[in-house]
Amino acid sequence: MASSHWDSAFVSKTTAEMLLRMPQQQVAVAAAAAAVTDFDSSSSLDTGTDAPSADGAMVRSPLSSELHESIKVQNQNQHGRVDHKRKSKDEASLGIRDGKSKKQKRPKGGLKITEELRSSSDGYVHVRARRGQATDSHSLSERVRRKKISERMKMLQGLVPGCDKVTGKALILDEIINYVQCLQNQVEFLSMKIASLSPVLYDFDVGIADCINQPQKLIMRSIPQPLAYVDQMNHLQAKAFDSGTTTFSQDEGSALQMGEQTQGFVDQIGFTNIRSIISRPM
Amino acid sequence: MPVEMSSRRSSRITDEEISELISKLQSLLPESRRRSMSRASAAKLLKETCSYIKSLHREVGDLSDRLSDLMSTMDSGSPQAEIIRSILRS
Repeated sequence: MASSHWDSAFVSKTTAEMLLRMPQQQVAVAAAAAAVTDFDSSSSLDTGTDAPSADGAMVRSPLSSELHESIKVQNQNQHGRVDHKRKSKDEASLGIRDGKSKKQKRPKGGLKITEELRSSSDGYVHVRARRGQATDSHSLSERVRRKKISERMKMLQGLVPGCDKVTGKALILDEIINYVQCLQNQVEFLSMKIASLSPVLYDFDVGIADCINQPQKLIMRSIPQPLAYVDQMNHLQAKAFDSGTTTFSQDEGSALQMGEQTQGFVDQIGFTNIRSIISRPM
Repeated sequence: MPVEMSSRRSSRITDEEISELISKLQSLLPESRRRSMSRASAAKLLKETCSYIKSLHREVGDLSDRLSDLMSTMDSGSPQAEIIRSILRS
């Protein structure tokens, strides 16, 4: 095998150098033998370094463990490179030496990594091309990218209720957008209710007339947030209060139904204003 | 002419629509509002959407808990509630 021949040559050369520099020490010959034969080298190693006497054999040992480690690392790198040449026929690897980080898959918490995309120890991302598919680097990177995107779409499909029945990228995206808007409205609605129910926390020294006439301007000021929403949330809140019994399933249902109605004002007013107030530590 | 029409019709969902949806999604995410409106990659957007949805879930749960606590402790006949009801009716 070409690779192992190369390895053994390298090993023997390095070993010889080491032997010249190292003083003689007393070590177990068995360890030396074991360490040396750990390399998958052929007999040429033994012949090459057999010239030194028993002393030489003993000297090799303390060094050989370090040597072993360093060569092992080298081996991996070299093997990686050799593997690329061998694999290019039926499989192609993506080189990331150009530093594009998006091709390298780093394991992050919660992200599923498929077998194909796991980056190997030598830093290359190995992708197996299926039969009949192009193997040039562009289409490969494109395929990796598409695979990443479809993985994340599947994750989102799991999060969004009712999304797994939908097929097609555009429809799924549509569902996701609707759901996110729904959730945002829901949060807004709940914050409004909480704000309206705990009046002592908010400063109501702004005139009511101002609030009703110019709700937009008021939003910019930090304090009278709850009242600013009053006029526009009027039809919602009045219903909730008049009914008297506001259970939660009801609230959330109504929030979802009125999503379209409140959508306009939510967009206008901006989403984060009331949230910042509600989420303040009490 | 009929051939061109059919090919155009068959790709009903165009790339443009998809990119429009993606930018719409980007506008919903809170992160993109602080930065400039640079177009992030779709994969990154989807990932942010994932974490955003999870955080929204948490927030809704949190707010619901708080609201239910408030509602249970609050007396609906109290003057405070009365005031608020009247304000909301106006």
